[in-house]
Amino acid sequence: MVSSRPLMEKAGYLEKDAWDLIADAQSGNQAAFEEIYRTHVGRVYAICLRILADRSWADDVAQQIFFRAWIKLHSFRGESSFSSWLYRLAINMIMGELKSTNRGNAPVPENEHIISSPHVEFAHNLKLDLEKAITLLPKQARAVFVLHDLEGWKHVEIAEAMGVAVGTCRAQLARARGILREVLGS
Amino acid sequence: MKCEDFVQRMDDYLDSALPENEQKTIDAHLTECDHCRRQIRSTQALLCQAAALPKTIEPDHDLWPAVKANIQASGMRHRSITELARLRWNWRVAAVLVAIAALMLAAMIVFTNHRESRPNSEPDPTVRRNVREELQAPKAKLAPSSISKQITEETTNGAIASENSSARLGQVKDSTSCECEPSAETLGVIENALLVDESLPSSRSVEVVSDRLFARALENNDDFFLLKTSLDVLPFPYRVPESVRARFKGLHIQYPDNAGITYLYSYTLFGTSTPEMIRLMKQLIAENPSFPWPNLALAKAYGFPNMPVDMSSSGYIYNDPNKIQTHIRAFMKLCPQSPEPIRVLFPATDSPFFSATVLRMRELLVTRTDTRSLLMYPALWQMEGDRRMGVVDMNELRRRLSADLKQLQNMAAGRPAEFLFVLVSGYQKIGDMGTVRALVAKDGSYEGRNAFVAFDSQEWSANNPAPASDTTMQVKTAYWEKRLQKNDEWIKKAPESTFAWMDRLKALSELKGHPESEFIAVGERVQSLLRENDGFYLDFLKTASLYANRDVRLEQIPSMIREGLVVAEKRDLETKNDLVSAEFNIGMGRFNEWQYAENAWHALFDAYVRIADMGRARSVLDEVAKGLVDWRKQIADLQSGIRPVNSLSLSTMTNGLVASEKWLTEARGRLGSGK
Repeated sequence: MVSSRPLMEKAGYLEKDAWDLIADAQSGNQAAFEEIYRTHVGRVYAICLRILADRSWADDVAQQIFFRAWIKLHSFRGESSFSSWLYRLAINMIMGELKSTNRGNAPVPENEHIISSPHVEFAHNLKLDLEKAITLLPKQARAVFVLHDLEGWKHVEIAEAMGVAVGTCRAQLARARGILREVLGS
Repeated sequence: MKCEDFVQRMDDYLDSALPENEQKTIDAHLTECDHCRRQIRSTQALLCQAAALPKTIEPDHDLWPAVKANIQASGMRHRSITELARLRWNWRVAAVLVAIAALMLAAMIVFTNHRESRPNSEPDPTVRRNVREELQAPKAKLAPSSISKQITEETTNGAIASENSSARLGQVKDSTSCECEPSAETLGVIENALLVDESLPSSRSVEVVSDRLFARALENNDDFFLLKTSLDVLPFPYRVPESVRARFKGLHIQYPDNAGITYLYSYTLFGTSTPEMIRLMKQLIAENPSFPWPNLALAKAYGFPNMPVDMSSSGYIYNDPNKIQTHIRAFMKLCPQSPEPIRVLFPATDSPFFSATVLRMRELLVTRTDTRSLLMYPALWQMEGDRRMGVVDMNELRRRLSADLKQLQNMAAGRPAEFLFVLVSGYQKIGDMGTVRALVAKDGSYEGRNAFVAFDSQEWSANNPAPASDTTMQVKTAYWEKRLQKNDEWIKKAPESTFAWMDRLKALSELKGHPESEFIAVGERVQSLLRENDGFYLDFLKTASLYANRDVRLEQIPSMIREGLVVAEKRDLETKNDLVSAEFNIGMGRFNEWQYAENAWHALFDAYVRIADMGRARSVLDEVAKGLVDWRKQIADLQSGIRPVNSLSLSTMTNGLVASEKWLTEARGRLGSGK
């Protein structure tokens, strides 16, 4: 069936509506913010879960991220897209969490040769999928892998968010990819 | 370069973060080192897997109540945010606020639970859904990319999108990830869609298949590969229905920031707005370097036409073998397991690159069993025998081809009609004509039956050469009677074959002993088949010549010639594309049409002279002279550079013109001398 509403008009309508929703939320409308939350929670939660590798921790942090977004919503001026603004805020918070605790480090010893790791052998036996394999990575390598290879961030941006040197970031990425190749047997 | 150096640089290489010279050094190392090649492939495979992970994961339970509780607990803060900022230094104030917030939080949780149990306080669920749907592609709506904005502005109407699809299209997966292969499930849908009514000619069935794939895509969450295949089956850049372009334009307007949709829309511009297609594809590559498909689209455009480069030459505006190579390389880096480059590799001239890629393509293709891949075998065989492969051991080539064919025949059951041509082309290549005959003889599809007639007539003609023009009438008659008998079999096998009926008409034009009514009945059948099946213009013109040779219905012949030219013009319009320079469009193709039409006029002139109707014969010469005036002007334009043309085409046309002028002078002489 052919759409009865001209598409151009529809596109214009959408744009206006999305902006209105943000503006409404900025003026304190919680229903509008709930719509924003529902739109973005899947993406934000995916980043939390992949970097933190723990569901209950990801739940906590995702809640905090949306609460922080509500508090800081007035500072969104539309210079970037709203989603970029939100995801950047989310990643800054996740990185803060990672730094502030020892929680979330996968039990792969940092200096042990990856091939000899019993966890890797274990993973081999289970024929892990990538999603599970990521949770086996050491936390810094995991964060770099998720941000670089899944979220498309550049090394400079990741290094800045993590407060590490670009070289460290590159090394962690190589490490993460190496471990994953071994774990996945590819 | 040593392997250790490569390992150090591999990630930067994959991220295209190395200077060009280092990138090239690694390329060179990879062509030599198996170990590093394996390593890079496994990393690429990993990155593809990573790119294919879902972008969203829903939490196990709804987090909103907790977020909302926090928000409500902080209600005071939100109202006086600037005031709060001023107070931030005061930790005591902050501590008090936190304590208050904690108290409020507890109170609000109770309050919220209470409120949520009241149905009227819930927002209208339909309103929520609408707003959510509209936010589904938020980036698109908030910040349309420069590409999409421009296209959206250019578009005014004509977009087609189904109501059903518009709800789902919000979920169109952004295919910027390195998606090289359809899923097994999608592949199954494609296989089914390829099986169509076998009584259709392939020119019709591709449109049926394309429509069907598009419909399946809408039923399958707008699967990128189903949408892509719905375009791949069409003969871009020729004869693509406008409705197909409109479909993708519609999708693009709805999802301007979805790279997959932008790619598909851009591809529909191939041949009609090729510069724009090239620009959009380049921009897609710049914005989404891990999205592989624009590379192949560009390789195809730069390789147009897909024939040996020696034959292509200057008329093909975008032809650029270096760029073909660059884009094929880029594609192979992103999709190292995909045999798709076979489709665009042929015009890449560089021998080492060509031969290395052909070898790699064979490795990849032999692991495939899906029909779309199997249909690539003839292209592979053609390339394997190409001189760019270096010295080819013909016995080895034949042995390999036979092994392929054996395997392909085992996989033939349940394949669409086109699959027959893969086998036929292979067996023809190894010279096993017995198997070719057996294959086409048992195939009952439209294409199969027509192929049988073509094959059988070719074989029959090879064994029964037509008599020379100076043989006796008796010998000629015996030959054409025999052919007419054979023709009965062909028509029985493929009653809709224009070729078989044209062959019959030719025989009857030679057999003057048969009644005129028999000739006319066959002639009418030929003309109706040509009209029904979008016949080739040349067949219209040949039919006109056969009528003239037989001295039948001469008064209808001028309109038959004109019909042929109208058909030719229609074909010119349908196949017109902006990949070919204007002089090629206007040049040889049109010249051939004119020459064939002229042949028909010559035949008609001869017929009028035979029946001594000199008045009408003279009027035919006037028609010929009119055509010559047009052509003299066309050639003068080409010579003067108003429409530049290559020298070979120009000399062919000039020679043709000289020969036609000579004929005209002689014919006028014949009329003048009363012969």
